[in-house]
Amino acid sequence: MDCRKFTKDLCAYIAKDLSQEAYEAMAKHLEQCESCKSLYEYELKRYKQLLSMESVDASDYSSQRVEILNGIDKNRYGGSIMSRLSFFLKKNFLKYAATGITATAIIFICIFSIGYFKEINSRNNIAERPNKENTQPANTDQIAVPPVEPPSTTPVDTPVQENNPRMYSNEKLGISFTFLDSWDGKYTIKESEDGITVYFKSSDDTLLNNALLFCILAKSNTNSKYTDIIGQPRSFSAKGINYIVGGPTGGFDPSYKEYTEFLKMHDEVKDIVKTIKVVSSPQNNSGKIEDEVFFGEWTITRVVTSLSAGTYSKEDINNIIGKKMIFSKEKASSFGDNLESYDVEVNYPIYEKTLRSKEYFLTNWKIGFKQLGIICDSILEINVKGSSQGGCTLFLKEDGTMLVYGGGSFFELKKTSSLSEN
Amino acid sequence: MTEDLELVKNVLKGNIESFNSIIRKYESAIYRYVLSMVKDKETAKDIVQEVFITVFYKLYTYSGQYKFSNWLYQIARNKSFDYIKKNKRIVQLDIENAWDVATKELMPEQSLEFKETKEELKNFMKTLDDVDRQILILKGLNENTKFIDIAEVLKISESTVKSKYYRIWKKYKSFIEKQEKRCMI
Repeated sequence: MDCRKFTKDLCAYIAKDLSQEAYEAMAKHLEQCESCKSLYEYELKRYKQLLSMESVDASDYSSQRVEILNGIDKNRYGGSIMSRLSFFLKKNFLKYAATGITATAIIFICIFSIGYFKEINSRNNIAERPNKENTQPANTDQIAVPPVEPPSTTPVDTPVQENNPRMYSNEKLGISFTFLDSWDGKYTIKESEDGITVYFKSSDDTLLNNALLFCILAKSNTNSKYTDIIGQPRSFSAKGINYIVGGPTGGFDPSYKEYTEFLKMHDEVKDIVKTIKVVSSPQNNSGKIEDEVFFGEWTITRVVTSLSAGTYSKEDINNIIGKKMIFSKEKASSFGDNLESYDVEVNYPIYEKTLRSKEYFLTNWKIGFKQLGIICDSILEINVKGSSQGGCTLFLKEDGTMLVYGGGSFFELKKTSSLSEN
Repeated sequence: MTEDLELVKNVLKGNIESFNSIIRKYESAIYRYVLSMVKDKETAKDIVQEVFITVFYKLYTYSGQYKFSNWLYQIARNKSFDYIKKNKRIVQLDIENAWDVATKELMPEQSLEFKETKEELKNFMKTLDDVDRQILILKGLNENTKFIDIAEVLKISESTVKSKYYRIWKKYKSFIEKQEKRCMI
């Protein structure tokens, strides 16, 4: 190798973009030629400078391994038929895709041909007997017959809202969601103290327990086999109880004739999960407001986190910590951006509850759940409002504590006593 | 690559320790990659968690078509872009930090000269598009990163990566030469 060739390939040599043979020849020349060596060192320095433009200092990184392992369902793989089947299908997708496409094309051509010949045949028949049965349409095959609405499989005691017959609402648990039109007559709901389970309604009743579509279960009672993630929210709180939304882990026999229908519904579950809402039931049948889990006396214990700009000084925060807040049917404490807001008491407050997702917080508050110490994927926001002034924004956490927001900071509230019923 | 495939297979059989090994092996590199995009350490840590949790739940879809590390980088890239899009943050190169790294090995007098070029350096970095930056980030993560790996992560052809890379290199050299000439006057 000569110096000209070395100079020409130097950039590729530094970027390790040469064949093994060319690379070795360059290295050999480098050992022998001093001028090329100094050129190489000069270019290498420039190369490192260029790459360092985008480099970052990660020396203080602490491993996130524990958090990651805590965030996964360790039983996800290994025992589930569905996951294995899914893995097998995906792995062999290319192998079977060509066969599948060919088969579909042949079936489509057959159906099209049959339809086409039927139509010709039908036209010929009409042409042959123009005066007979002319009140009937010429081609009955083309008339869309409206499907007969199947009877709903929803149990009789399931409360269904009149304005949307597909909305399922369980006021006892405080949960509602809306089924898809295409699901009519194809599902069965089982309700229990611990939650709601929705099954695919198979013509074979013995398959029921194996045809789980999704379930919403109280977290503490959730069996690990129901923890497949099937959509968002993954978990939420209703009436102070944490629920986990889980999916099927298999069991429905793929060889069974309704398996395709089951899979179709299984794919649509995420669209139903999206509609999950926490139902607030401000009044019971007797017209009285029911007790809420957050009713009681609370103490502000600490600042959990603060946004970049706030209105409270360190001294203000010290004054705030230890203050009591009360929430009941008759009255509620206030909290806001200044210390004076605390002195306002709201009479007969309105509690507006909304389920807020992690994404909502990131977008609107520019803050992650982790910073607020929230483990669930969603949290219940309670807007306490009065008729004129006062009120506050609370967030009910899964561990029974609450957050109250004011002046750019999130403060932790701990319950000190429940208010006794009079 | 074979070792990674073994680990993936073991995870799919239910061996969580193999997933632990995957985290241990790639966590730091993924963090550096994410951090170089989002420029915020806490956010980068959160994204690293999200990446590995997604990897775990989507592991059964890994087809072996790409190198496992490239698949990981692809997921990390998507997650970082999602974050940037959601937060509508224009993440720009932190030129102060980059300059610190770039001048670590320079002598004090050279360092002073280099300081003067800081503004020009900013202008140079502004001339690079997103793909150019990604190429530099990925090439800088590991000196053994090949162009084919970068092409897989960025889902563009290897020839595009190479031509872009050599164009950046040429541009950078002419920029440096211009600076050096100016210093000599």
